[in-house]
Amino acid sequence: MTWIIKFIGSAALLLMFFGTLQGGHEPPVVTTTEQSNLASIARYVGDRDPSVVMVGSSLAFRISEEYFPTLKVNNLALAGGSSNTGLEIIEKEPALPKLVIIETNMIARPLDRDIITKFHQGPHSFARPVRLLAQKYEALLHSKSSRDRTVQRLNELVSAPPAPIGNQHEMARSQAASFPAFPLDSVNANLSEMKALVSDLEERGVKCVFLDVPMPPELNNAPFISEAKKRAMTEFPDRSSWLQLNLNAAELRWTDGAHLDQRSSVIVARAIETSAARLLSDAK
Amino acid sequence: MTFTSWSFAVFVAAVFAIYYLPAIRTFQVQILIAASVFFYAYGQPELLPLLLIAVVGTYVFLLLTIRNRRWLSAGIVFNLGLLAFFKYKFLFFTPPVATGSAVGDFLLNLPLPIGISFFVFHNISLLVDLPKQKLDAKLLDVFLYVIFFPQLVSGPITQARNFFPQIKPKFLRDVPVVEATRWLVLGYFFKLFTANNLNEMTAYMAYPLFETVKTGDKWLLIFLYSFQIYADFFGYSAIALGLALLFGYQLPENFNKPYISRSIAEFWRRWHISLSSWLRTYLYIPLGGSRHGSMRTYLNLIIVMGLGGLWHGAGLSYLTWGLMHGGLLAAERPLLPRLDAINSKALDAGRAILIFTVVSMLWIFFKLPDFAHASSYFVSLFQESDIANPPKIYRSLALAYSLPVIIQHLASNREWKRLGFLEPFAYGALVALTFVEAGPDSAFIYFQF
Repeated sequence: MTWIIKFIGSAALLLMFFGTLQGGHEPPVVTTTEQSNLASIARYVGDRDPSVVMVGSSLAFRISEEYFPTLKVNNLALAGGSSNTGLEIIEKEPALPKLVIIETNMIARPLDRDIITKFHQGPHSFARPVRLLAQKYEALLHSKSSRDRTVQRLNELVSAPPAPIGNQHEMARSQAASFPAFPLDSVNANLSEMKALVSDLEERGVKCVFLDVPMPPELNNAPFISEAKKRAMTEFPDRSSWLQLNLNAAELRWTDGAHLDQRSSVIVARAIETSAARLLSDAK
Repeated sequence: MTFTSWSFAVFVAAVFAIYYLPAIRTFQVQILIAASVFFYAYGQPELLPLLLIAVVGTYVFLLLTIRNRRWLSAGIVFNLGLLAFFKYKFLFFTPPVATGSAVGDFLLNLPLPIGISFFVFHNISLLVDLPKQKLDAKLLDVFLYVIFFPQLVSGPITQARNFFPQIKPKFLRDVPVVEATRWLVLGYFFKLFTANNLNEMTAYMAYPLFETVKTGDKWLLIFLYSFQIYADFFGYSAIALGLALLFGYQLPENFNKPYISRSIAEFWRRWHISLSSWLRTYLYIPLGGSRHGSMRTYLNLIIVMGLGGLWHGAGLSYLTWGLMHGGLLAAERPLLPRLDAINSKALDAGRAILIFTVVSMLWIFFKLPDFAHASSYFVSLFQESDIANPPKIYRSLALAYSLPVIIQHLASNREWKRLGFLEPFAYGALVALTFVEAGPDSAFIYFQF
């Protein structure tokens, strides 16, 4: 019995201690997709003066905020998520951005209310000591670079030749083969929802534009992607609301056949910045 | 209902409370059977009839075998037939299957029954042991042995000769609470803290994700997977042991620091001990064991391990895994007497590192059941890759989550005993860490078998 009492007592005391330390919205050392998404939402919601926001799936997620040389961009794209989720989050916040860039590649994915609910449930009740220690260790090892050094590093990356093509076509074909049949009803429902969200934001003075994140031809031609794109263009026919990216597609590479590698993400980010900057100055 | 769910905790508490009520002590076996049936039906109610058919069918064959030993083969074939049908039918049919026959369609479209690999082996143990040992064969006791919920889904595979003598009235005062608590805490800690967190990292071993991983990280991942699969299975087994103790039953331990093994033979004496014991007793020895010369011994080892691989899953990967273990057992056998005679700690350490590396490489066939993907991963371990944007694997976290496995393997029993009065506090700390640091939920790896 003494053993049990000491055991229960020590467990309870330690849990109370971890509870007083308390976790935050942004978890230390993000390792899961969900944590990463919650961190993205937290960063956006924490910005009281958003300018340009990008919403979408893991395709747009790869286009990191630091890849934009001068434009202030919040990347609210959610890995495994959809543009509608990002639009819903933006719509509910009091501070609205000037421009929203909406990825249209993964229209088949619906709005994820669970992640929004999870975010609003509040921060973690308990601190995670192992991850906190790991975070401190990682911070010691990798101190954050200054903006100028980051831009210089990215310039060097873009100046270097692209990675060898390797088996990315094979991987893209494999990805395309893994897609399910085109979900017509879901896509139509999602597009209607997107239209309503875009309409609401535009009424409140936000400019919304659509982005087709570059993908390998094998994926672009897959019905799951190509049909969705056709329907998105039908739903939003105004060509001026589609971002035109001026870039050399031959320079682009995809790490797993679907997601842009870092160099390609930087190239796409710079092309987006050029188009977006023009739109923002036209709006003035 | 998984062991790691809150609903399971409520279930166990309720059964425990009822089980030890003095007024219904004479019905303890029935209570456990009812609880086990509920536990099984909660997950796959449509497969409960199969479980009942398997048990009743085995009981009928048992009674027949007691009268005439010739029925033993029929009973074994009945059970292996069930296992073969449900485990391997999807090699020939792709669901949904439509044969035109309602019964055929129903049977062919049933999912793989949870625990079938384990309860079939229990049934076979029953058929062999009870008549031989001349133990009593009451239907209720047979039911309890086969469907006892702590061991129903993933073992340990308890031999009938060891379980049946334990079936008698149980008293609350005899429950080894501290020992049960130790096993439960260790089990949940290894599963939730180690296995579930390492599972996040080893997700990069899946195809096509591993194509984006550098060669060095691919090696790291196979070692992390070794720790994960051990923590997952040891965790499950520890929980099963703790649960069984709560109800007065001692199940066999399934692991004994397998990753310090100095040979594949030693590995199989330390890993999934209940399976290797079962294979030795009911397959290797009846095949002739080592009684018919070297070549026949090597063949028996390869056959037994190949079948052991297939037991895990219907696929070339599992067969390859088993055959490679069998081949290695055969290859090392003539060398072992000479190696074991050398008294050298450095040699022992070197052998343990080599065996751990080999075993870890063979786990690739478990992680990647598609043979083509597993082979691709295997080959890529020896090719330098030029990956432009590799995923980030935090080595600090990898070490932190692997540490429990490493410490458990390297610390001796004497060192554990030195904990002394600190022991309950250490276990309390494990509970707290499990609660706050539990990784994302993932199914027990051995549930799929």
